[in-house]
Amino acid sequence: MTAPVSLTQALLELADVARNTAEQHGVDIEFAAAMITATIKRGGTLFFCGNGGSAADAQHMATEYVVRYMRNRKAYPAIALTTDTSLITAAGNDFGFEHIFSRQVEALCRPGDLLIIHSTSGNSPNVLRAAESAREHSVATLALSAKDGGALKGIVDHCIVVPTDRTDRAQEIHLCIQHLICDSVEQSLLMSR
Amino acid sequence: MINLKGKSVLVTGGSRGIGAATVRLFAHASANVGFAYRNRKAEADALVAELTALGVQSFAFQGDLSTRAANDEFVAEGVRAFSCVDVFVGNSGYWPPNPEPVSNLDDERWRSTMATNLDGMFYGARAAARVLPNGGRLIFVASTAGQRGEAGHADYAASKGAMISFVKSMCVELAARDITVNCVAPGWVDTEAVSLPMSTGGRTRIEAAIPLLRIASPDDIAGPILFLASPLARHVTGEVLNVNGGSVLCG
Repeated sequence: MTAPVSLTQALLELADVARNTAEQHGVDIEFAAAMITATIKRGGTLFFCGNGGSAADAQHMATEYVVRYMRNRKAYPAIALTTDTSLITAAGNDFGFEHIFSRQVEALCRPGDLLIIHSTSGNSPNVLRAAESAREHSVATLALSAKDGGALKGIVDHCIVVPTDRTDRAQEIHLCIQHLICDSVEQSLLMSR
Repeated sequence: MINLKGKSVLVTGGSRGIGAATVRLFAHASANVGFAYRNRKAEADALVAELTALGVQSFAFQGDLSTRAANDEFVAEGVRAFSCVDVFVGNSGYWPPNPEPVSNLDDERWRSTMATNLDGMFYGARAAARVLPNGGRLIFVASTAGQRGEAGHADYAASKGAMISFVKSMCVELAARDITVNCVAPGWVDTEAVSLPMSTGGRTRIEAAIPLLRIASPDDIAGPILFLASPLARHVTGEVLNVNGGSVLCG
């Protein structure tokens, strides 16, 4: 029987992942914030997608942009592609689960928009199809991934690969990064009013 | 006539020469301007003060623009400062002054020229393309040498020739977003970079070989760059705008 993991030790390991992410990808995170700021400024819409916990992150972040994060300000256009159960079940049933996001990208995304993909593996077929559809429609793409970035890393415009093999730790860092970016975006856009 | 008030412009290699002239001209056209430089902090600080006095927003960014990280940081800083980047001018580049035949060209110079002129152009273009709005502008500073070659400077000529092909490729990719991609192609320009060939009677020989019989000033190049960034040039893309007094006709 193995000893239970120390919760304190686990938190310190999470801090290590955060530190490594900051040291290895600080510029990438700053640049991701620039992509989001520029999208909103030019009148584009942020679209979020992901599976499971990453789907929850997608909805969480779309909410932060539409409603508010740290400041009261005007609403920013953001949509999670993970919430319409009628659409998702129809697309999954009729075309296959790998099409649940790409069908929405084709229908909703336009040049000037930004598709933001959360995927710790970077290999889920439905997010890969979404990225491909975005490229076909001249829609910019940003991904948050982990491990080696998977196939997603090679087909999106910009990818932040959190240096961990653990899905849970990666999702925690993804949400942290997204909150930090949202704060930065709010500041940039409010300064430019 | 050209007024870019409310627009935000980034210029690489902006502390001196063609870059500084371009920065000034955009500021006089009321645009907000951020520029990147490598070493000349005093010149960069003085230029920022000049722009501030003109009443536009500005910033100077120090970095090695041959790297991905510096280009990403520069563009991110532009978005942070202005909340958008409407125009990106890729001007940073290097012309190695000593002529060397290819048989004598060492690896170090080749790689250095390609890093500064080609890698830097690619990283800047890529970063800018990811944030430009629909209707944005990408403008690069190519060269006469990129079209007709330049004996003794094959590395430089090859880098600028590649730039021209890059521009013609990228303009089609970005057309769906109504982003234009163009370059200006100067010949001889009166800057510090060419002080060596201009010395010891070189200037007179160079002037005599230019059909318009004069060497361009940095302002002569900045004007066409501003034109390409303006609404006047909205239907121009994939173009090489020669600004060399007719020199390219003589190659």
